[in-house]
Amino acid sequence: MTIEEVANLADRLNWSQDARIRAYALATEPVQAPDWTRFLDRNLLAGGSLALLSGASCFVGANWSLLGAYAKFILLDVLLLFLALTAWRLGLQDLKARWALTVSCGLVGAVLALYSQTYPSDAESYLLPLAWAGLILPWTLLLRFEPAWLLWVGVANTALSLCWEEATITGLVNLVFWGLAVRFAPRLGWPQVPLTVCWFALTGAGLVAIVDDRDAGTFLAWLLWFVLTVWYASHRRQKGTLAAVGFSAIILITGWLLRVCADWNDMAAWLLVLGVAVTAQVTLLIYLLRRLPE
Amino acid sequence: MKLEELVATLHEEEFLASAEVPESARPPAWYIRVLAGLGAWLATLFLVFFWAIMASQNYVIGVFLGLAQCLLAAFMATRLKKELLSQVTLSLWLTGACLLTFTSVEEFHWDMFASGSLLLILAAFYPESQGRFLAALAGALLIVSGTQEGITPLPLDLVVGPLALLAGLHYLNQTRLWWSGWGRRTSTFAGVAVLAMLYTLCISFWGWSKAPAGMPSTLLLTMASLWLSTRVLTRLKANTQQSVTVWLGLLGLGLVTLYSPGVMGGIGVLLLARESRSRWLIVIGWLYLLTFSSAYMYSLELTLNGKALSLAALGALLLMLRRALVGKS
Repeated sequence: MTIEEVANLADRLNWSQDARIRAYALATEPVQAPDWTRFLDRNLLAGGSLALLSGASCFVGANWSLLGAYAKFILLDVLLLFLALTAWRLGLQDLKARWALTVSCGLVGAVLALYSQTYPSDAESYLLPLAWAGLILPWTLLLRFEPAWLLWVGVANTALSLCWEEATITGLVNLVFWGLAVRFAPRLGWPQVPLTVCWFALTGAGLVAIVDDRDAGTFLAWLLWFVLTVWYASHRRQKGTLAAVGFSAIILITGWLLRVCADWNDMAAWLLVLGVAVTAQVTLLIYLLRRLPE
Repeated sequence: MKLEELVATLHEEEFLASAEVPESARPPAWYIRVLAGLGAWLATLFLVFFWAIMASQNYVIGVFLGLAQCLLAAFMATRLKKELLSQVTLSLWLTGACLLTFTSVEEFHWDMFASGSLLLILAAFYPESQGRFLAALAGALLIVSGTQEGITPLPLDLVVGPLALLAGLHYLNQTRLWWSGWGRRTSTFAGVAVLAMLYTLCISFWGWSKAPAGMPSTLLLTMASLWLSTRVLTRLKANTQQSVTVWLGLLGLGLVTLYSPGVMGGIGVLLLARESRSRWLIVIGWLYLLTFSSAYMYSLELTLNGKALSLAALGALLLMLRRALVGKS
């Protein structure tokens, strides 16, 4: 707890002056040696690793053009094989092995990119991320590691956006990813990742469809996501997810009001209507969330 | 320390009669705070333009409406402490403060320094922390930008010192300040000081200011980091070798980044973050370090191979420091 939260709690519960002083002292107790050791350990390790990694990247970047095509392939392939074999030797229960295989998944993309750079062709641009996502899928399933799942979802979404360039389809496919992540948890990792992509893709597409008065298909896709997510999150009491879905609805309703009010001559009037409407909707959403049992 | 642990400890030490915390007394959940913040900003966006149109006929109306909204928001924040009304209150406050400032700038031709000062004064009197923080941050950024206006701009080295001092005074004396009733005010202004210092160092580094902060700020921040680390080392009864390693490390870093004070600023903020147990400050400290160390490496007049070697040497040095400090602590 921060000292500010302690002070607010003390105000709400009318604590005595002595209780307050003791609570403030407990919340700001001087940090002892083990805490400092942990702090130095983590921060120096993070800083040192980041600097070494950046140095290695700069070195490769500076000398990349000097290498021939075969040398580049050999460098990347040897690194990929080394990391994959290290992961195999350590066993996937080990955190270091998981990270090694996740970096290998990233290097698969680098090898594919180098191939398409060395042997240019007229192939569609989405084929590279699609092949990448397909090749690393078995490793991702085997790993059961959240960062690897994050990488896979990112690569698959890149392929999707290059292939269809349609936010609604991206949103719906991510809805499927979310369903799979929830159904096969913890094998696939964070369900919040595809759900966040869904939020941005479908809310953005829905808002554009409402403002430009486009086809109803986009809105139906948003409605499908809304109903499914609200149904699941209400059952699981995931209030954070419900708040996000509710805010998406507020954005779309406000977008619709904006379109309706834009025809009015009196600008001040529609600004007031929109301001009051946003306030009322958020208040209603907070009220509904508070009523839902913990 | 978690809420339950804190209350249980106070109960065990007989400061509290019960170890139970009613649901209504618990701090609002994160999603309620995020919703209230986002809703208030969105509503303010529409309402501030509405009031600006209403007040455009006469500046007296603008000033009156702005003040009235600020006072109403202050009343609601003090008397009607309901979660449901939090975003209405915040929206009213932001709209009132914006309207008052815009009207003053428009009518009296105020510069950034004056409008920033008005926002800071308004923030100092506002009773709720989130609204106070937002207004104070806007005011501080305007004041820092205002120092660079005119023919003789104020050297930003003179801005960094007071900001660092303000943050240090609050974070190292929290118990005393909260106990005497000043904590709410100082916590807002200390948080704003850390962010305003980041802004000051950014505009200095990228040359967006006429009198940028440089060597004096680095020296000041190095001295502050040395003092803070000595305070910690003394309290923890560290041995001479560890103390000397820390001092030499800080002095070396200060010398290497003499003309880029942001790196030492990041180190200082991180030390302050750990000493005051503030997670928020740790995030800000890393933001300082990532921003300024990458900018510093980018601006070094070396070949890419030279930069790669420097980075590798830095990484090795940090890992060796870890071994020297953590391995024997």
